[in-house]
Amino acid sequence: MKKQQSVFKVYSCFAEGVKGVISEIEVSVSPGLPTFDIIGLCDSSIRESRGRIRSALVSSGFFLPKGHITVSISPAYMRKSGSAFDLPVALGILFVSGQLPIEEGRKVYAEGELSLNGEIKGTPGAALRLMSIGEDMDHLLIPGDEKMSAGCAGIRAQTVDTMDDVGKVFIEGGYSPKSFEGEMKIYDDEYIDISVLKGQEKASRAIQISACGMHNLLMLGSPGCGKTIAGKILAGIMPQLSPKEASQVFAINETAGLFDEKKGITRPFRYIYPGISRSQLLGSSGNLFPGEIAMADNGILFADEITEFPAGTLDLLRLPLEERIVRIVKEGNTYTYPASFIFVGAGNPCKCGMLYEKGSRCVCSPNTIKRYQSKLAGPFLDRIDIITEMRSIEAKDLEETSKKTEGLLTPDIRNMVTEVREIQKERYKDPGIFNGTVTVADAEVLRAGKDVVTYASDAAIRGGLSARGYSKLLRVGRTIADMEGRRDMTRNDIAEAYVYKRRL
Amino acid sequence: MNDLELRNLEYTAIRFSGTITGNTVKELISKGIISSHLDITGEGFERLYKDRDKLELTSGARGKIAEMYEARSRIDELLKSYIETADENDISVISCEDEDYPFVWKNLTGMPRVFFIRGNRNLLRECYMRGSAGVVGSRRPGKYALYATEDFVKEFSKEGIVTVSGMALGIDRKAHEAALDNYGKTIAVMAGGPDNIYPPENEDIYERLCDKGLILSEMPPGQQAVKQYFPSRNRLISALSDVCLVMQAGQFSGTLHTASFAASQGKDVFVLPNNIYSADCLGGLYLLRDGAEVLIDPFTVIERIRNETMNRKILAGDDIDDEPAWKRMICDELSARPMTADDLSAMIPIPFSLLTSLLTDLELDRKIEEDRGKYVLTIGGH
Repeated sequence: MKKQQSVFKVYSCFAEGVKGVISEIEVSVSPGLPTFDIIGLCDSSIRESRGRIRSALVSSGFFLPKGHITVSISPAYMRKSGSAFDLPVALGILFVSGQLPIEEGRKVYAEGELSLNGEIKGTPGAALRLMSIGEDMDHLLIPGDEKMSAGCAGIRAQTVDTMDDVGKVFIEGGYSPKSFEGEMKIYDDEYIDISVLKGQEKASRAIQISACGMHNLLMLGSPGCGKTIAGKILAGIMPQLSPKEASQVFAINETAGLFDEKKGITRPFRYIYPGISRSQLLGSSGNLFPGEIAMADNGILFADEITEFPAGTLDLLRLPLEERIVRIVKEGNTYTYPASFIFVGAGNPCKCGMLYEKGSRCVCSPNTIKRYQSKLAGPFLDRIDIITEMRSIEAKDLEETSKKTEGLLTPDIRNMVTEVREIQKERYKDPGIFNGTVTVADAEVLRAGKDVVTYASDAAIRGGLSARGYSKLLRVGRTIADMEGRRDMTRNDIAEAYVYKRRL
Repeated sequence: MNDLELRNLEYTAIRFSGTITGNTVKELISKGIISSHLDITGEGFERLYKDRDKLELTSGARGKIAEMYEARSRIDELLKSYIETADENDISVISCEDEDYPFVWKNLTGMPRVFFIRGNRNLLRECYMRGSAGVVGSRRPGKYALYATEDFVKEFSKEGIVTVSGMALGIDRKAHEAALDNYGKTIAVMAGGPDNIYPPENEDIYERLCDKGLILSEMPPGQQAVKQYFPSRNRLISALSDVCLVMQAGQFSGTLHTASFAASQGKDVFVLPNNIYSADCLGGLYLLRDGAEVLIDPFTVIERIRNETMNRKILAGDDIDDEPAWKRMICDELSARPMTADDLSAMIPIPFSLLTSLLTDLELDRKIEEDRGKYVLTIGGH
């Protein structure tokens, strides 16, 4: 047996906001009365691990060494929580007491919660933690439950399901890390087909433009005219999640403990409603739990009944819409979550909701309408590129749409959207920038000729648009030109974009 | 009155001189002797007479031509009175060679080559592009049928559909009245000449039609309405309409003629279900039994008409690049009522992206404007 060490280091990780922080776990055993202490600003979930470790070791045929056992988890100044430290602490004890052999200088990373009978279970936040592991670890041990997270993080690791497996790895030299890339299950075949928007061409076109150029969208229409469905269709016509996007989506969902293995990784569609609280929206600063805005990253944030939202809540959305990140401040530290999503607002156009319906079914007075629409304040609307009205389709048309004779249209449109996004990637040389998110609408970059710019500014002046409205014309026009496969923008692209301008 | 109209009047005078018949003209055209009906007027008149023995004609036709030649003085007299009456009453002449000649008539047999109008001639084009409904019925209708007539015509007017009827008392009168009251479009087909107000009780409606609607007749100016003209007037009503609505008809009513003309011209006939205990309604009920469609709501009819006009628009707008034509069509649609972009897209067969860019052009040109989510014509766009 090798020389017994009195202190041994094992590596693990904990999640802080959306970042994983690598921590060193030092275990020392010194002679004395048997004690077992864990130090390093640990919360009770970590301190309770003592009981789990003792029982797990004993039931797997190991023992807890006699003497003072001290476990220090660094960095000692950061608060830590979670039961993922069970396995690394147990490993440290086994190494330091010589029950498992290890060569000196070997770096071991481990995480996982122990059960009393020695089983090892996965814990939330695995994807984030595994993403932050460097490449210098010699042994990487993760619970079998965390295969998908490992695949998401793109690491090679050894899965262990029980303490017996751990014994085999070190005693029999059975360390054989595997890659888990195949474990990522991206699902995108459950969508509502865009053909149900038959007869609602404007909304249909609007969501296509929105998906192509990542333009924020506002749909106003009567209750039941299909706004929510249009939002879901939008999720369906967005391109398939790239592996990188999928891992981001997975990581945030998994951290929040909301990942459903049966459903796999899907493009986020987060639904918010007028009564939503500040912490539900932005994230809670107590436990750094991500809010709906962060959860919508790479997907869609759908605000239903947007005209009923308190002004304060809409104001909270302004900064994330502008910066595409959301910040949570906890104890003086700022934690940043990426929040790049398409914002979709849906609401009634007036108090009775019937403003855009056929005939004159609206009973609101012009003043009521004005007051109602003024709830959507200017600065907020400034961040919306496309505004469309929607009217319900008649029962007869509904019948037709439910027949679905034309076959599915979404796959073709999704291909188109994917292509248009490729064009933008080339234009901006950055996969994160789209026509809808680019900060400066430069006529040269957008390839708008002199006559097009003149037409746009003319339209902006005649339509009473602000400078921001003008830049929106150019950007939405650019997306339309991209959709039609035009290298240079034309007057017609601007003219079409003008239809989606703000009219409130 | 221009030359073309004068020559058409001359043709009419020849036809109504009681010599040459429509069949003779047809024979001449089908044998390639003349290329247009106008070739029997002016110089053609003499030539036809001189060459009549050399031409391969039936003996009947040859005789008619001789009669025609001898009737020259009567023809001139007729022509003179036509011109006078036409000028006095602001009557225009439309022939089958005109742009405004109803397109569908070219595919029907027995339609007049020349007819006369008074009022807004644009309605002829509207009739084709926006669709039309023939609304006919009894001269002594029940309250129920009158109410229904008003109700249906009101809906048609809102949709910009042209209401065609015969300016008789009863249902006809109500149909015109309802259309005019609701700023709709309406055409009255007269049995006599376009200046002949029959029945005289309807003079008020006649005046309103001259002002805002259209009076149409195949009879020359000055012609009195005679009993036997009414059935042939009815065939024009059904020929001008895309669907025929029978609001009430007795068992031997002339309305039934209109319905059977409509059926033989391939138009849908709708009948308002009426009281089975009233003899004044039996004609309509028998039509229902024979397979006419039941008239329950105006929207079924509007839908039927829209299907027709949609095809016409596709034909008319063959050239997708003809933006001015599409813009006209947009303004046409909006003249009926305010519409959302979605509504317009359902009416105009062009890609939505093109439609929206045209809408913007029109909006920037101040032809249309956006009001509460719907597009409306501005005053300048009318």
